[in-house]
Amino acid sequence: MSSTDLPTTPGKPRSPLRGRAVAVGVVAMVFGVAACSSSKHATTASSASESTAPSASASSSAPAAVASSASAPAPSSAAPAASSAAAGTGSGPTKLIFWEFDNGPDTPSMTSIINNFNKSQSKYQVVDVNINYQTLAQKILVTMAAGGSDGPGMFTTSTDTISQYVANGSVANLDDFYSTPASYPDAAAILPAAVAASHIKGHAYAIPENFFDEGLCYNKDLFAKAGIATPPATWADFATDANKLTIIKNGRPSQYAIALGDQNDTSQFWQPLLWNGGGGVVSDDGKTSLLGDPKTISALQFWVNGVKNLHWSPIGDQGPAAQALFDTGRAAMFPCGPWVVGTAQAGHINLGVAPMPAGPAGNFPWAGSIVFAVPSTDTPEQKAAAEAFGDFWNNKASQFIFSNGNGYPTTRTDMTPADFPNNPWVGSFSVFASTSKYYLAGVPAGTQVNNDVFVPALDKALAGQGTVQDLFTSASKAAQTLLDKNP
Amino acid sequence: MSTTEIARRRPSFLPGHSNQGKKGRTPRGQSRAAWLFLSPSLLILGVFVVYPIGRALYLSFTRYSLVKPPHWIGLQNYSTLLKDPAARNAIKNTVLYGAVTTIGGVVLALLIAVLLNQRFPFRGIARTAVFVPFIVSLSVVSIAWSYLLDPDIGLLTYWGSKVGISAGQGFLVNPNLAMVSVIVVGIWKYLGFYVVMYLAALQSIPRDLYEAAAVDGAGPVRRFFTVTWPLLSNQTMLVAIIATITNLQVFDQIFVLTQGGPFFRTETLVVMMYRVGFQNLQFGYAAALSWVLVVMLMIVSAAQVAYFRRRTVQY
Amino acid sequence: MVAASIRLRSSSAKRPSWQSRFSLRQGIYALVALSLSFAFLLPIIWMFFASFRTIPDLSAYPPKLFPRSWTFDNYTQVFKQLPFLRLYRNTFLYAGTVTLSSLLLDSMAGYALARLRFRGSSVIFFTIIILLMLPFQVTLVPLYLLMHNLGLVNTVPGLIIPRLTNAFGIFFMRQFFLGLPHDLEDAARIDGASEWRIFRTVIAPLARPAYLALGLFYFQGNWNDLIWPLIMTNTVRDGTLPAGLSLFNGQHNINYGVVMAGSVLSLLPVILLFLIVQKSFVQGIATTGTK
Repeated sequence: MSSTDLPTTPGKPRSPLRGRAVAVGVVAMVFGVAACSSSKHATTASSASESTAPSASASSSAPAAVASSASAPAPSSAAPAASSAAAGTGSGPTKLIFWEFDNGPDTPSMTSIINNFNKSQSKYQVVDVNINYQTLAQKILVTMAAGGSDGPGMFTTSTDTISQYVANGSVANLDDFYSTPASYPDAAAILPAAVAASHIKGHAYAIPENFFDEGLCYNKDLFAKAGIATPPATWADFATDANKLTIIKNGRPSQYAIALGDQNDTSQFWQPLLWNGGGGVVSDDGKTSLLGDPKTISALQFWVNGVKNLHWSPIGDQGPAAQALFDTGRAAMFPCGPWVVGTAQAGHINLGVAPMPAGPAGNFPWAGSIVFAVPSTDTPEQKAAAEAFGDFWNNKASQFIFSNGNGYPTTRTDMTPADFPNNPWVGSFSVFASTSKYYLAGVPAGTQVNNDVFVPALDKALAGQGTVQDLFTSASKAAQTLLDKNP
Repeated sequence: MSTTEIARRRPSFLPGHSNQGKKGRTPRGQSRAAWLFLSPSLLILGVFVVYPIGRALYLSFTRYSLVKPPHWIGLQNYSTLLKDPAARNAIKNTVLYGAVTTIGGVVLALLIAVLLNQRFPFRGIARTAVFVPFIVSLSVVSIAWSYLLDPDIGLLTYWGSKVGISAGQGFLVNPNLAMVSVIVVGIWKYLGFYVVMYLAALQSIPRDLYEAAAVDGAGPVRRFFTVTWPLLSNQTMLVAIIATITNLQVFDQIFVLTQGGPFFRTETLVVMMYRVGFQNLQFGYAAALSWVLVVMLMIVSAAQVAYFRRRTVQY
Repeated sequence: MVAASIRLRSSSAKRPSWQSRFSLRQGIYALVALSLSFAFLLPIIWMFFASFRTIPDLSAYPPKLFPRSWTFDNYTQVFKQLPFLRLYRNTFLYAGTVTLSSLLLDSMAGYALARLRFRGSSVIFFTIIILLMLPFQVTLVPLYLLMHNLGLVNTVPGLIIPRLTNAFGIFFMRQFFLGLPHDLEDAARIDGASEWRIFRTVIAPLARPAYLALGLFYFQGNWNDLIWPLIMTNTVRDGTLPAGLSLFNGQHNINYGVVMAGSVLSLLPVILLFLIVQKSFVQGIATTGTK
């Protein structure tokens, strides 16, 4: 009887409702399609003002950062919108869609430099599109698959992933940016190391957005509490200090000496540890795997033992999780770049910055750089616009805004920390040593060697699933196979 | 027990059962109407689903880095696949995840549905609570899970340690517990939908069948196995098929919680497909992997249909 | 639900006293069910409280479910950094349009497959089942290329059209329609009603519960969907909520309090929708595949 329940009881009162639901559905569809066609035009016409609006509102929330330049974010973003609407019909500035993944304290500086650029000249107009960094890479790939025309005219990427694009011919050669000082005067002032990072096999494919050496951030209060006066200078010092700073309560660490991530996005933290021991993941020329090298093995044995058996660091952390430990005072040290400054200050950490402890082979800091790249599908005008922006970005005024806002070192040879009386952090992550190195830059199989070979082997070693010697000897063979396959 | 009642409940999953209309207009008129009813969906599915799938099939025979045009290499991706230990590992993990999550999910859903079909105070709250995880974005709520399972500051880790459960280095890092963790999250997320499907089916079981069974002297357990379970078998089949399709395609929570780690212990086929396609730029190989998944799904679904058809026919 | 409980206890004609209504057994049931509820809601309760916490509080030890101190700063940040109301609107239009259209088209197709006799119905049905089985990750790129060739990338039609119908919904509605008795539509056929009329006035009205269930399924799926809207839209303001929220996940640091505040805000409409349709919902799937 219950089976007849449904049809009869609900049938009567619901029937009109049903008709209405369908009607609503049809109306909504029509509405949806109407909305589509009208807003297609809206998208193209007004995207300039729309895309800058969120960042502009964010800039007003960060007072110190852009005091110098963000005089009127609202009008400045409205003006180019009007001109771009005109541009749609014919003449006007060349529009350059710019995909970037800056977030947090970088955003206001980025916004005001773009606004300044758009105001400074009338030939080009940069349209800022802020995208989550993980998905930016995916969007780039998909648009490149479609020939690039839906994609940006310029995008940010890191030096260790750009080699993939170069190998596939999907980013443009920018040699002229560095070789025509008449058009791009500020290119000559960029730090040689940053310029080198933008080159692969002798050709330029990128323009530096920022450049820094990784350092060792430490929590001065926790060091004082443990009775340690200075940050560790050598591995031996580190071991002594780390054992004091690791606090085990009820069988589990309540404080870690260091937050060393060991995932795909944090494996670069391990590189100075290997380099300072005389080893590494791949040789400097990117052709040979060093994972089975005795020096790599002994460096790994030292650090894996510290993390796994002495609990110096938690394991399995990605970057943000590792940083959260440091930001909240549960890890005393953190291998870090300048992005720590803002969050450490917000978390009330008494921050100190030092070079990573030197190993048996010396000190080789990891150098990081975010760069601007240009898809090879850009028109000559778009490419020129990107290079003009790259030049503008690296001029003194822009570098002042950027570094003053977030504490990054500048990209220029002719600016010193003394130029930043209001931001004492600017010098902290400048070059620690002339020996600093990039990780996997210019190695086409780099991402794969890191994600598919190095990190899994490291995680196995940390989980006690084999000895460092065995795991990395076989990892080295796998890495070599990948390097040989993708020369 | 009324056999006609049960006979009417033969599984309707297989095509052919649809041809039940005994009287009415000629099939020819129906045929025209049917195509008209189907045409909008077929048009959209044909263009936006079937065509991309066909392309994916083609791409599985190519080397394709996304940024360069695809290059035909015949069966090479498939022969690589047969020898690739990473693919074997992903298939193994997919089967393990799929089997445990589907069987666990269906059994738990049935138990909870039977409970929530009883009359007791706060039942409405419980029904809502069980369903809520289903409407939450899995990738967002996975962030909450990663906090709850954190080895240092995780609430669940902390409560666990109070009652003597230790996760060692952490639920998501421990090679044996990581899979368990993503399975728990997977079951948690979809259980509500299955419970609701079961609840609905339970409510359509005629009361008199239970009464007849009670007259025969059957206790609650026997009543469950002689009345409830057989009458639910068709719904169980539907739930099991939907669950299988969902679970073998698992991606979201693994991507957020473990990224397939530690050392590929939780890497399933779709997670591997993402890594191979979007990180290693071997999109042709990723496409070949997806066809392994389709074949697996077809075998499992066919087995499920066959199993449940046999069961129901016995009654 | 009320109807259901009346049916279950139809034998108790007289009004029961408190004791007989809530026996010891029911007490145990309630206890079990409430602990289950807590277990199921825990991650969501945690999210809710996390959205009011400061970062140091979020990672303090020992972990606590309740905030040690409350802050609304996370919510202020969300509204400051994202055009949240606009994203709400975009997401609502996207998920709403896609849901309503799918319900209509899927139920039409499901009706044809379940109730009409025609050659090729098996082939179509099996094709639809296979379409369910291919993961979206692999069709994403070919689909994007197709949209590109059609010139639909970064347009609203490009975002919506591929989602106007869905193989799962066709499968689901077909299963539901198979369970309905034939008497009503047979009578209507004898009266000479057209198939469209039968569908609209006889069959569709009976399917309200299934519409609700499937509608909720679609709405939450598209409301929460990240990757398709992200790929198909170009600016934050044209995008949907999940795409906007993803901007809080930085490369180096993530302010989880703000992420949780954004997530709670994006969750509210879906929960609200669920509570609205919840009453009719359990009956929703009542006859799907069971008859």
